[in-house]
Amino acid sequence: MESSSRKKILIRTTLTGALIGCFFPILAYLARQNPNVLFYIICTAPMVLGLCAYLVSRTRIQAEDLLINKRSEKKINDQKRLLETILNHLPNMVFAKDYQNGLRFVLFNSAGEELLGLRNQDLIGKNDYDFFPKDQADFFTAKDREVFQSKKKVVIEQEPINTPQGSRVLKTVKVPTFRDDGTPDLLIGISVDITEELELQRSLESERGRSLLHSKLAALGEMSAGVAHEINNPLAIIAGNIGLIRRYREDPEKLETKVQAIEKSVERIAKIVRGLKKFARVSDEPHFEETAISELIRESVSLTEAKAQRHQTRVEIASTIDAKITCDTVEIEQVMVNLINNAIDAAKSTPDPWVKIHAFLDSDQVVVQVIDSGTGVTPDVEARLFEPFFTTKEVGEGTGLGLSISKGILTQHKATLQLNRNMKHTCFEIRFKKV
Amino acid sequence: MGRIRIFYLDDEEELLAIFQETFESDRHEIRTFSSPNDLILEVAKNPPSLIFLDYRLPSTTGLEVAKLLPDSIPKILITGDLNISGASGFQEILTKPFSISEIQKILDQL
Ligand SMILES: Nc1ncnc2c1ncn2[C@@H]1O[C@H](COP(=O)(O)OP(=O)(O)O)[C@@H](O)[C@H]1O
Ligand SMILES: [Mg+2]
Repeated sequence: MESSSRKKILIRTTLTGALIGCFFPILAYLARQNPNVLFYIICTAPMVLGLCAYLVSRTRIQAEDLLINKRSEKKINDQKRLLETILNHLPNMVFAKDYQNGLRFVLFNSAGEELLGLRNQDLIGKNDYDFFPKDQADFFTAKDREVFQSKKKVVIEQEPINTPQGSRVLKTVKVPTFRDDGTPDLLIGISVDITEELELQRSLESERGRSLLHSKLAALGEMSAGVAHEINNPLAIIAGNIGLIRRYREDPEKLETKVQAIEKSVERIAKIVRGLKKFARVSDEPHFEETAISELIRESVSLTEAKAQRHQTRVEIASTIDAKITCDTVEIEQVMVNLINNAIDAAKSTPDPWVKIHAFLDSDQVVVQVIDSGTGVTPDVEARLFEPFFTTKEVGEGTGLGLSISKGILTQHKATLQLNRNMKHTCFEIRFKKV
Repeated sequence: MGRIRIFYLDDEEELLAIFQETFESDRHEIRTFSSPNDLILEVAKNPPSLIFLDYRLPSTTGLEVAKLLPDSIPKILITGDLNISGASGFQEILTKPFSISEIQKILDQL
C-alpha cells in the first residue's frame, strides 16, 4: 500500500512534467508565427512558473506526508509487535471482550490458549456461553457487567474454571475501558492460575498442624520421663500414709496428719495432670483470649519444673508486669516451655546454671525475655535457629522443631521472636502487642 | 542393741519419714539420708545390712551412688521412673509406689 501510493505520486509527477514540457514547443511555435505572442508569453510566464512551482511543491508535500505516514505506520507496527510479544509470552492469561458485541472475545493471548486448550481463532468472536457450562458462564458474565457498572477494576480472588487439564482456580483482575463518549468499550481480563499456590498453602497448613503435633509429642516425650517420677513419688507417699493410717486407727491426731499428707500428695499429682491436659489438644483452631502475662509465665515455669530440677538449674521469674495480651494460652505456654527448655539445655553444663525470665513494657509492647547462663549461640547456629529440624542436640534429645514452631505460633499472634544480641547472656525475646 | 541396720537414700523427705515410721521396729533400725555424701560416710563408719537407694536424685542417680558403696552390702533400687538402663548389682529393683508388705517381707527375711 505504501509503495503503490509512491507509484501514484511518481506517475503524477511525470505527467505534470510532461504537461509543462508540452507547453514550451507550443509557445515557441506561436512566437514564430506572431512576434506579439512573445509579449504574451513574457506576460504569462510568472503565472506558468507559479503553476509549475505549485505542482512541484504539492508533489513534494505529498512525498513528505507519505514519509511521515510510513514512519507512524512503522511505529504502530513496532508497538503492535511489542504488545503481541509481551502478551504472548506472559505466563498469565490475558483477554479482551467487546462490551458492545455481547462480550465476545476480541483478544486472547497464548497463555490463555494453553490454559483453556483452545486456539485463538476458535475463541475470537465467541463468548463465554460457547465454552463454559451455563452456570460458570452466567457467573463470568455477571462479573463482567459488574465491572462496567462500577467503572473500576474488579479482583476475583478465586475463580474456579474447567479446563482440559481438569479444574483450575484463577485469580482474575478485570478492568473496563470506555470510549471518548463514555460508552463501555472493552473488558480487559488478566488471570493468574493460583491452583498450585492454593495447594501449597493448604499442604503448608496441614504440615504446620502436623509439626505442631510433632513438637507437642516431643515435648510430651521429654516431659513424660520426668512426669512418671513426679507422679510416682507422691503416690508412694500416699501408699505409705495409708499403711500408717491402718496402724493409727485409734489415734485421731496422728490420723489427721496422715490424711493431710495424703491430700497434699493428691493435689501434687492433680497439678501435674492438669499440666499434661494442655498437650491433649492438638489441632483445634487457636482459641484467643485475654490472658495476664504473669500468669502465663508462672504456668510455663511450673511445666518445666521437673526438667529444671533434673538438671539442677534455677529457673527464676526475675521481673514481671501486670499486663494482658490476647493469645491462645496453650500455644503461648508451649512457646514459653520451648524457650525455657532450650535455655535449661544451654545452661545445664555451666557451673552455676540459671535461667531468668523478664517481662516488661516497651511503649505499647509486652516484652518477654528468656535469658540463660549458657555459652551462647554461634553465628552459624544463629543463622539457622528458626529452620525446622535444625538441632545441635543429640538424636532423641532435640527435634529441631521448638523454635520454628514457636515462631509460627507467634506470627499467628502478630508477635515476634528474636535472639537479642544486645545482652550479655543468651536472650530470646518475644514482643506482643499489649491489650 | 543388736538391731538390723537398714539405710534408705531418697531426696523426697516425706517418703523418708514414712519409711522410718513404717518399718522401724524392735528388730530393724532404719536410718534415712537425703544426701548421698552423708550416706557414703555413714556406710563407711557403720555398715548396714541392707541399703535402699532411690534412682533419680538431684545431681546423680542411685546407680552412681551404688558404685561408691561396698559390693558386700546388698542394695535395693527404688525407682519412680518408667524404665532405667544399666541397673546391675542390685538384689532387687522396686518401683514406686512401693508396696509396704513387699518391703516388710524383705526386711523380715533378714
Ligand atoms: N538458649 C539457647 N542457647 C544456645 N543455643 C540455643 C538456645 N536455644 C536454641 N538454641 C539452638 O537452636 C537449636 C534449635 O532449637 P529448637 O528449634 O528449639 O530445637 P531443639 O531444641 O529440639 O534442638 C538448638 O539445637 C540449639 O543449637
Ligand atoms: Mg528446643
